[in-house]
Amino acid sequence: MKRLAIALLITGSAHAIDVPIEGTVQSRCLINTDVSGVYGNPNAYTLTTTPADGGVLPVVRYDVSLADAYKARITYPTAFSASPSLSDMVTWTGSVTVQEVSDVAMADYDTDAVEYDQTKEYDLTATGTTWFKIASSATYGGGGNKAFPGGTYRALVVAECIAQ
Amino acid sequence: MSESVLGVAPVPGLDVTGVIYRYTAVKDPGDPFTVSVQNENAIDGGYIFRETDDWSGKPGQTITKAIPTGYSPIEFWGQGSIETTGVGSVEDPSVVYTYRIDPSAQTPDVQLPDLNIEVYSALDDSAVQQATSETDRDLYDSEDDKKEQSDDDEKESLEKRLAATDAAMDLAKGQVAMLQAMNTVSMSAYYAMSIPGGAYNDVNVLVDTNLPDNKRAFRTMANDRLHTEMIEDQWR
Repeated sequence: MKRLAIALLITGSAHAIDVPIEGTVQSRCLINTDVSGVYGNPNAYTLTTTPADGGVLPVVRYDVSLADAYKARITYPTAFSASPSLSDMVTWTGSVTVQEVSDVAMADYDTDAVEYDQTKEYDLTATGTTWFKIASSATYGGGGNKAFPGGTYRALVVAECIAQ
Repeated sequence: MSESVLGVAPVPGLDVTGVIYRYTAVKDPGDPFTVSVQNENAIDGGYIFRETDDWSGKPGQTITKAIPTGYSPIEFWGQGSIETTGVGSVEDPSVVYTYRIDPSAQTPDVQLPDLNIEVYSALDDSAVQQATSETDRDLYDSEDDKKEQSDDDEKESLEKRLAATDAAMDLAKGQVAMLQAMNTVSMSAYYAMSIPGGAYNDVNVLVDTNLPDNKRAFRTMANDRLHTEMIEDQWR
């Protein structure tokens, strides 16, 4: 009787296997830093990427192989990611503009872009490559023109590719 | 296409594989404006390459385009130009052609000279023949010469050894003099010193009293002995 019970238990057990389903999503929107920015220091209280003031404008490249599928969202910095200890206020300004395109259909990206806070959002309506340049300036002292403490300053531009 | 445009001589087997151009369109967004980057077809007429950008209704912008052309033989590529229509202008234009050279289409135009290379044989070399020839015994010293030379060498060696001994003696004398000069510290003051001594008597005296036996130790030892006996009993 005991043996029978065991046999029934074996034959009656649920038989199941896991069938895997795998897939690969190839990225159709690539972001690449073509030029890293550099802050120039035209005076004691200003750091700026303006080339005339010794700075270098950072350039971000978006490569899109699927039209009308992504948005480029680029935010210029509003804080230093690395800096000496700052006891006073830093005033930030910046801008994001299309520097270069690989298709005429991208020519009106700038006019169609939506801007809010420190962010600019572009609808990537055409396939190809778009280069964006970002300007950034920081002034120390809250209008009081206070000299930045000596040291290394670093700020980050956030460039995102968001599926629509 | 001329060499000045292409950058290389239009050799056979050279195929244009692509065109990369860049320019800035300067215009008002409302104005019609088209820009065509093109190359004439030098053999069949028309254009071998023509790419038109229609900027009408769009703001001016800098554009960079890379257009693949397949493997297009250089013979077909004629005069290149940038043509515009409408209202606007093109600034800072740059056109770069990419190409490949098909080695199978190359005809060797360099005739190799008939090289008359003289084969060198080491066995025919006079130096090698001289080195491998039979040794001339006359070149060796005879036994008598060797003996005379040996006597002379022995005499000379004795003289050298005597000279070396004299030099060593002189050196030793110099070293003794140097040691004497260095030993200027008088030790007599240390020898005259006396260290005061005396007798150091014991101060603490332990008086004998009754020391009780350690009963716990005795019990432990008894247990150990019993344990040992039990163990040994197993082997009896």
